[in-house]
Amino acid sequence: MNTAEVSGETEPKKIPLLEVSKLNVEFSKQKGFLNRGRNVIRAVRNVSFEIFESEILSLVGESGSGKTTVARCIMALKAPTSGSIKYKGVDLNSIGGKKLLDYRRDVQMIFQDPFESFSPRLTVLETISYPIRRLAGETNRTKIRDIAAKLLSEVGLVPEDVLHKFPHQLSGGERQRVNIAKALASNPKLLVADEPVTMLDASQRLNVLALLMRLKQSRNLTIILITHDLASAQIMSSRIAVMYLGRIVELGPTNVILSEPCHPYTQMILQSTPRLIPGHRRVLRSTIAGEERPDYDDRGCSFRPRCKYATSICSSNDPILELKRNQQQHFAACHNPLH
Amino acid sequence: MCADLLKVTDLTIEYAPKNRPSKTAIEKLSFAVPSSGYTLGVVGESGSGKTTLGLGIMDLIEPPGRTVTGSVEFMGRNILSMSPAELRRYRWQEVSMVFQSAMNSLNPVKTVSNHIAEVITEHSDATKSEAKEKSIRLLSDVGINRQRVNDYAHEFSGGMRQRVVIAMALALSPKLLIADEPTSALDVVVQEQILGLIKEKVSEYGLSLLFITHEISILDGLVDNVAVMFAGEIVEMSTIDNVVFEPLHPYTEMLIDSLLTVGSNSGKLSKAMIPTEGLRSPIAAVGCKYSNRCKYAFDRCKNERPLLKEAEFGRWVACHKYNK
Repeated sequence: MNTAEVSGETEPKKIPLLEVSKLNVEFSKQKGFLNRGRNVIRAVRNVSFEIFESEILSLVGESGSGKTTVARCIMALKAPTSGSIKYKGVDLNSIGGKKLLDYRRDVQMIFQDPFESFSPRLTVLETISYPIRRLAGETNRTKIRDIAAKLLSEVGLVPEDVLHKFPHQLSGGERQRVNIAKALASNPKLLVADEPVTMLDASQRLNVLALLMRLKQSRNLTIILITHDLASAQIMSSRIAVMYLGRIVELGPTNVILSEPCHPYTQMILQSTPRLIPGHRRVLRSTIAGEERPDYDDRGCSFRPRCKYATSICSSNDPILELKRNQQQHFAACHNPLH
Repeated sequence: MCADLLKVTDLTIEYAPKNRPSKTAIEKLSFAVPSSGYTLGVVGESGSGKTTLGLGIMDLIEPPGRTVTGSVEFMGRNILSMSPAELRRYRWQEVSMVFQSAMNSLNPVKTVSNHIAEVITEHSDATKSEAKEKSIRLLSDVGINRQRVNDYAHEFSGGMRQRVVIAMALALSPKLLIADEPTSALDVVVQEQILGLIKEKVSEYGLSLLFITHEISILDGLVDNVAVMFAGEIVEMSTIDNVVFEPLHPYTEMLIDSLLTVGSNSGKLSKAMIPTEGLRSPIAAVGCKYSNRCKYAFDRCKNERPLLKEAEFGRWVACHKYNK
């Protein structure tokens, strides 16, 4: 509607679709014989961000940075140790039962490994039927079949070809498309895509990303893209949040993060990403820049052991995520920002 | 006489499980590593036969796989007809290999230096104490602190474990190093460091390198030449600049087009194929294997299989478009 569009643009502050604030998740690991003493691993520390309707936000970070744990909290698969997640203003902690089921309809997830996220004994039709029955509430078998076929063609598969196949008969790209079709069954508003193309062959990656982008436009989806790859974050998202050891260390518009990173860690991953520029071969160095995982100590910046710009304040004070550039919504958690 | 360091001729390897049809993993594949110091990246998608090629060169194909035809010559000697004792010396003294996910296959009850010492005693005549001494030297050479040589694999990070595996491969100063996806499980920063280490050791020891990967972009700065594999064949082989920036084979062209790199993707998404077209047509049984998916395919491609030929100086391609 025209009026809605106009008001959406002129409104000074939009209400976020999802608001994550001060999220903390701790895992405790048994230590020693007879469980004497506990080792607490803080997988997610004070993570706050918001995502607005029909936006794509990328969570970028290496393995162990806590990005999947954040996703599991958003999916209400894992209860946070502290902090809150609000969907359309309603705190997830406060809902249960039917309301939680409604939430699960609205928020769906695409998992990383298309080879392990299927039951090998169910056909594609049986796999997709489940969310149609459970979340969309359809019981008529012919109708379920019709809906499944429609979803499959929406993700670019030929329904007659794949409906009765088992997962092992499909390629990685086809399986990931079935995964996406399954996630769309309940007509979600928000998709959490956890490394959706990491396991795919190079020729399939761009296709699946293009499919997600097309679905975002046709269904007005909001997407949280979890990835370790800056290139796919760049091509897909309007904003990027960079995570390191459980924290968001930098958050801002994609083009700003990639051209003028504030945080030394963002700069480090940008410089390590191969670019393939004609006539220019990168110079590989074998130096070990604090590759060892630092201990989870609580004082100071957690990137400090690997950081070449670290000063004394970095080992005593924990930097907080704060606005670096007012007009550009660019946040960084660093005592010595680069730009 | 100046024989090639490694010469693979008409190599065909198939996997023939019982009661099931056999599958050809590599078909009539020929290529050569001409001299020491030659670095070649082998790029292919899953199932293209790149790992089988690496194993074939080491003569490590195990049943139900078997080498059907062809030869693998190392400095003029065919390794496929070597005696077990000769093979034992060939492996690790002449050619060594860093296996895919080797860093996760380290023995949890052995210290890292013992892993390397074992390789040395098994494949050469060194005594135990010589081997131990050498293993410590090798580990410090790849950046592992002397104080940590008696630690166990689980006490190391992924990147450090990969360093151990590389030290192991260098233990008997081989002439050729085969690395099969050594960095695919690592984060970009650590990945760059490991690639840098391999590059440094290759030039330090004057090694030749065969680097197998599914990601062409990581070869940047690491190798001089690239071979692209599709369905068990090399379809294009040339310098990295030629392959990446002026690909000849339509399959290479498609691979490069779908490559995602930071900074150069504007418009790539909108140009990406609409999903139904992106589906994989089966590999053609007759004619060019890529002909079912190739936008340039013509009659000859459907009937006759193209061979890898030199289309221009130093640019080898298996495509009828160029080999008239």
